[in-house]
Amino acid sequence: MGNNKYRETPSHAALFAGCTINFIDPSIGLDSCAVLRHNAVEVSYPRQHCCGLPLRAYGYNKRLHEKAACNLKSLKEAGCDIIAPCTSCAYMLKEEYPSLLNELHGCDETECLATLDRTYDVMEYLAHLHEYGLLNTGFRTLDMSVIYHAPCHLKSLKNNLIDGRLRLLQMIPGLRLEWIDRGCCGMGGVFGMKKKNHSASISIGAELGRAINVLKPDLVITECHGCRMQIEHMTEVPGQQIRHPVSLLRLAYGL
Amino acid sequence: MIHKRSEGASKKMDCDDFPFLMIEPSAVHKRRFSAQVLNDPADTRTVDEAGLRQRLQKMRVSSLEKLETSLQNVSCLFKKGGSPALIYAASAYDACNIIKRACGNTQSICINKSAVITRELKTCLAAAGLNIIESYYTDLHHKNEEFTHYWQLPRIPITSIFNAFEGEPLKSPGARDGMKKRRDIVGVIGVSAISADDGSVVLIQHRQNIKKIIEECRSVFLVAGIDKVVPTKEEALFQAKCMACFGMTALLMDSGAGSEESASMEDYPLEIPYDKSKCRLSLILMDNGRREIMQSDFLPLMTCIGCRACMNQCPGSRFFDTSSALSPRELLFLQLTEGNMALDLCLQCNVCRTVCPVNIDLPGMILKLRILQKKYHVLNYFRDFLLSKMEEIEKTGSYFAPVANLFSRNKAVKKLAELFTGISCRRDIPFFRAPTFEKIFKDQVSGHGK
Repeated sequence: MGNNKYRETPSHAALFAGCTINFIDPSIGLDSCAVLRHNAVEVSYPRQHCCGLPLRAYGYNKRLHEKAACNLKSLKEAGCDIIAPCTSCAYMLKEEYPSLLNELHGCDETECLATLDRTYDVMEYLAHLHEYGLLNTGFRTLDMSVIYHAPCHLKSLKNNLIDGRLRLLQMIPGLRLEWIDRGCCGMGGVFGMKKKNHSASISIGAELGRAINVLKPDLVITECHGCRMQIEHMTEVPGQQIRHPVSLLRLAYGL
Repeated sequence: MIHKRSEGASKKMDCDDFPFLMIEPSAVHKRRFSAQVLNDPADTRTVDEAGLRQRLQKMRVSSLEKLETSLQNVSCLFKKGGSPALIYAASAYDACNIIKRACGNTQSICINKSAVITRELKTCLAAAGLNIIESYYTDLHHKNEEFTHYWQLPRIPITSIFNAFEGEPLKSPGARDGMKKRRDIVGVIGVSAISADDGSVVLIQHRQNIKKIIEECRSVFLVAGIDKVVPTKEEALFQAKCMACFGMTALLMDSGAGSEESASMEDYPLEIPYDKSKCRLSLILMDNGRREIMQSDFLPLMTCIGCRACMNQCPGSRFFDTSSALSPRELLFLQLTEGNMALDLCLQCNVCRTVCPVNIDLPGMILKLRILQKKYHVLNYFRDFLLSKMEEIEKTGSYFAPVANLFSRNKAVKKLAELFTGISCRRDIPFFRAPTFEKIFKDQVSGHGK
């Protein structure tokens, strides 16, 4: 991707939505589609299962391998860039799938690696477009203060992906964007939902919560659903003001 | 800069012929040493960080492969009964006994903050009834500021501080201060690297605490895990330099709040006359479960250089242990050697894996251990099974969306769910949506097609 060569014809990408977007917050998927289409990227939705992150966390390797094999098969067939709006799915595909490959049956390792190599987090993909000067920058003015929180699974991806997306978001005129690095929000998937971890979870995220409460932004943006839930739980910011960055982009495009 | 031993390796070492090297920030850096100066943009002697990491990884893997030969070389270099003496300790308990025997009337020891001391020996030493002095000088305190979180620190580019650290041979305290008196304390210091070719022992100090322990304590024990032994002096220096610069953030955070109030060395008067035969310097090589780890699947853990970079951004580190923060590497090591650590408190955020200079897959190993060592209780088994089925649960929830959402916010249902799933009733389960994204997407596409 990112090559001008690709842009002669509209480029094509497959969306890996993940469970959260599919069953809990479809609007993020729709926002991603709208923004990508607005940038002449054709979006498809290949057959897919859960990325298997929860299965891995509890050691259900057999089922993890089944799901991973299924996903890899259909993503390979799609034969295009893969875009995951959820950072945890992107993390699983980019960082964990490669180490699963030798245990999967009927998977050509080199082919699979080539497929996984083309996996992007949605904001990473858009930041690449921006970097190559291919992004539609016809944003309208948004006069609002926005706080960005970087989820841990984004930080754990290789290369620094945060700066690119911040540069992109700063293109929106009028936007007062601030990245507050206050570490982990404390949710950690199901970790913070558990009764026994509740106090630890709140204490880990306390600094983030305090910072947001002090700054009183119009909007908080973060890619991870867990982080959004935790921020809603800890701060006075109402749920509808805690969004995915791609939703902010859609707003800026006026789509 | 580096003291070169010209004699052959077979010559018996003497205290006057001191094979110890101290890695420190250079004088210029030191004079102005503060967190801000470390971020000095004027320092242009940068190194390539990715290259540094690669070189370090390669070096660590190869030195682990050659470990047994290196250990043999080291034991030949330090002859039994010579000075400095080499002592091999199979466990932390053995090492403690050796240290306790060397203690004088005050039964006091002074330790530094090396992981090998604070995580492996300290509890044992305290249990043996010794008074522990934590030598940690406050020079690193940033003016009027205390660091408790990594984001409060200026960004410290490893690339520019790598060259700030220089090695210098430690002078033999006996020869230099001939008649100087000593304090009735035994010093216990962690070592960063030991070279097997000439027996150089490399220590890192950022300020004067280590030098002070060596110069003023009646006897000093330098303690190293066996994994700290590397084939050559060049490698030993490189490893220590990497440890110093990759661990800078951890060190600065450690120097802020959280440093405990303890007795100071000054509480003990300089009263013991220096006597070469009694004021001994010894090197303890400690196994303490390391060989066992090296033979297991957890071998990569031993490539660790002990920089503690994994702790900087670890959300769980404050909770792993009740008394002090533990780095994920220490958590894993203690679990492997002692067991019963709170592995459940790892959030699996994987940031430690990204920052590790030798690419140790810490979260992967923690997960592996967590699954291996879980003692299943029927309810826990059921809970994990349920939570692993996230996709199926959400699918069902979405299918019965309006009803499921109604139930999920009901207090009684939440209480019941807390019992069965372990999900706190103080948390709101997110609303399920219907139709699913997949359905909306397909309808949209077919709508466009028409």
